[in-house]
Amino acid sequence: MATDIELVDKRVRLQSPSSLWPMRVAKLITFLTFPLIWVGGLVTSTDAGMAVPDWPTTYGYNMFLYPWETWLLGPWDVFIEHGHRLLGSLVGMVTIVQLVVVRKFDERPWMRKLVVYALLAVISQGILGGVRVIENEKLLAMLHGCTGPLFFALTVVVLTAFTKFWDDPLGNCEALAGEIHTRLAKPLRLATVTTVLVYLQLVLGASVRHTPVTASTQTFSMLVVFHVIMGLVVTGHIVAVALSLRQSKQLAPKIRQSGKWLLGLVLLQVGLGVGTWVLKYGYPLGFGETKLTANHLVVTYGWWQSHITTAHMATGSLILINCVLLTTRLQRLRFVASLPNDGETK
Amino acid sequence: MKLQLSTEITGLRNNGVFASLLVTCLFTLIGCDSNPASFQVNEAYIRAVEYKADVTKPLMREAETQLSTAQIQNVSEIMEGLFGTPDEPNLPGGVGLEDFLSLRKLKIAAGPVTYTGEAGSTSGLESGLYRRHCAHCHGVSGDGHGPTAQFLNPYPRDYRMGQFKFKLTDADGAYKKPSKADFHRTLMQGIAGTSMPSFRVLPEPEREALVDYVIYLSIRGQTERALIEAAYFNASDKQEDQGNPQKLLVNFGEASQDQDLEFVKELLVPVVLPWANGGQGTVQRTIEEAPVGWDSPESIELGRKLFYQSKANCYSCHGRTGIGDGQNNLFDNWTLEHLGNAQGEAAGSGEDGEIAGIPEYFYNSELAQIGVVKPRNVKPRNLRLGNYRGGRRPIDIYQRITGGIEGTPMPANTKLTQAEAWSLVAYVLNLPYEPASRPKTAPVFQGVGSNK
Repeated sequence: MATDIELVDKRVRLQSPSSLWPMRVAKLITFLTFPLIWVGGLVTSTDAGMAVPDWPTTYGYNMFLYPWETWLLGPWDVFIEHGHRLLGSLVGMVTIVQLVVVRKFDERPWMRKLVVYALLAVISQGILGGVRVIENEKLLAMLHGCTGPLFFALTVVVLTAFTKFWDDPLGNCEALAGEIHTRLAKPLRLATVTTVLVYLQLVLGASVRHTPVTASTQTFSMLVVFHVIMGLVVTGHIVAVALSLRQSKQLAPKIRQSGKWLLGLVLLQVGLGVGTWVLKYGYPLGFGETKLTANHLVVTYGWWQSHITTAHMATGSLILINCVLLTTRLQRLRFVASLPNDGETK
Repeated sequence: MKLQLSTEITGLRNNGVFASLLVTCLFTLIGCDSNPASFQVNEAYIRAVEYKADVTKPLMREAETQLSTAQIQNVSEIMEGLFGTPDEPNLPGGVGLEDFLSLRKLKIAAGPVTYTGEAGSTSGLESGLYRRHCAHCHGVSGDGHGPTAQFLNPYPRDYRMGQFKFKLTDADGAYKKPSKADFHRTLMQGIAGTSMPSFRVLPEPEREALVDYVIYLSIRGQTERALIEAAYFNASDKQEDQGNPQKLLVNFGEASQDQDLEFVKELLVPVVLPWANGGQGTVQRTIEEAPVGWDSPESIELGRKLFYQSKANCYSCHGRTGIGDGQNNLFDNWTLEHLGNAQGEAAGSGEDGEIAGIPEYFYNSELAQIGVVKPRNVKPRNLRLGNYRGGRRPIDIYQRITGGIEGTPMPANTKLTQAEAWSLVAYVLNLPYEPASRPKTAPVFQGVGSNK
């Protein structure tokens, strides 16, 4: 029967990987996924989802051979939709590279599995987007919009596992491992619950955005009210996370700063949410009856409407990955702090 | 350690299960509401017609004579035969609709959102324009009851009454149908201060298709109302047809086809004719009509006097300082139709609240489902904000004063001479630039001494 230490050795490798390439590729995927999500949001904001009616081809062309002049100089919605496809394909290809690199340089069995899941996730996401086009089905568009951030979160988990923090999470902590293990319970629980709530809020937002025209006013109203209430709940949780991290002085500064980042992002997100409503439906609750606001005009597909709405969606994903990053780090820290060998060390 | 790990993993799983359940519920909810688009029967109007005949029976209580399910079904079948479905629109022939509506454009505007064209197409090759741009607020049937309707103030327009607020066709106190140019202007400029957006980024052919489709929905809605009235007449006409109070308007499959066709045509012609004339037989107003010096200081001063005189009577609704704080408890026609005799209860309250005195049964979810929205009072415009929903050009203001705003308490003023009306335009356009503390008469402060 394997001892605890043997089990740990099989599940985590505490020394650095033999090459920097897995981390470089993981970084590249994460940094490509954010613009991919942004452009995906822009596809919905400008109703460009059906601008290219076929898939996997683009107007009969192999996607990669579609004339670049028509793509770049043609109609805006084709530019956005085809661009989203190309960017998605690029992320897919880099994920394949990641699989190869990780299999070559990383021995952690769970990591080798995780990159396979990442590849399966990106392929499924691509197929889902394609089927949405072939079937012209908005519900699939909503599903596609909800699974995108999950892939983004997965890329962040993979990237975190290649950082210096992963190898030595106790390095900058000003406390004994045993103490950290005890004190981490609260922030970890809060961060985990907040991550789940943020994702639910993201799905609620997608529901508001993709409400079909045949839905009843009651359905839409309920979704909007829930989205607002959940927004308040998420904000409250993020404030609690930030306070909890602020009080955990023994934690590394990098982790404690996450609270500030999350607070900043959630404030930005509330502003973008209000902006999205105003730019799509005008001022609510009589706020449009002032000198400054009375002449506000909603412009369908206007620059501000398209980009603020998209920014609201993309910032939601940023909040999610920050929560996932924090939760992953805290989990890792707690796990390493609980290892029997490190019980007496920093 | 194993125990701690397993507790954490169980905690994560519990959160995950909770989240998955909620996400599944949301997808089910949205999925269930993704029904195929269909034209809904104007049930609110059926209720309105039924209770109108019996003033003692408000909207939510059972009227003495009601249309049977078969009669309502019959109305739906006739409507589908005449106008088709949201995916396959049709124009009834023989009444001149083809002269001003294009079936090709209707098909571009109708149906689900699809691109059927070639690479690089920008317009004319897409279908589903109405569902893409309008139906979320105005509803698939044009009933003003799309998913977002409840949140918008004012509510999105219900096209089915055939009444539209902002047009340059009304004259001499008579409301006329808007011209296509009026619709185009609204689509281009939007309505500032409301949720009605500007569609100026759409290509011209797409806006043209949308205009035709809105007119089509309006004519369709008016025809449906006429059919409902005819069906109700049948249902209540017990003397003529005592043995069959549930008589159908058209018996499909029976021999009397010619008679039925004649009946439908008789019903359609008065609906279609005003639209066919809309904007064509009517003089389009232009700024050239304005007399020289219409915006001079003297003209503005004359406008100020008229504002407070009974001849124009503007202050009674827009308030003594023009900030819209006069008569605030009136309703528009779309609300009045639903309020019916409950309006008496509402008006009797004397309160200035937004929905003062509206009977409780109007907050009923059953009414909301058939498109009867929570009543809201029409608020007179605050003229000092410089926001004029029907357009800010002098000619737009002139038209609002002399032509009124159809469907609202803003009347057409036929007493003013042309010069007087232009003076009033000058005064109204000048209001945002003058201090709000210049009422016609100085207020008397009781108990703090005399003004004299």
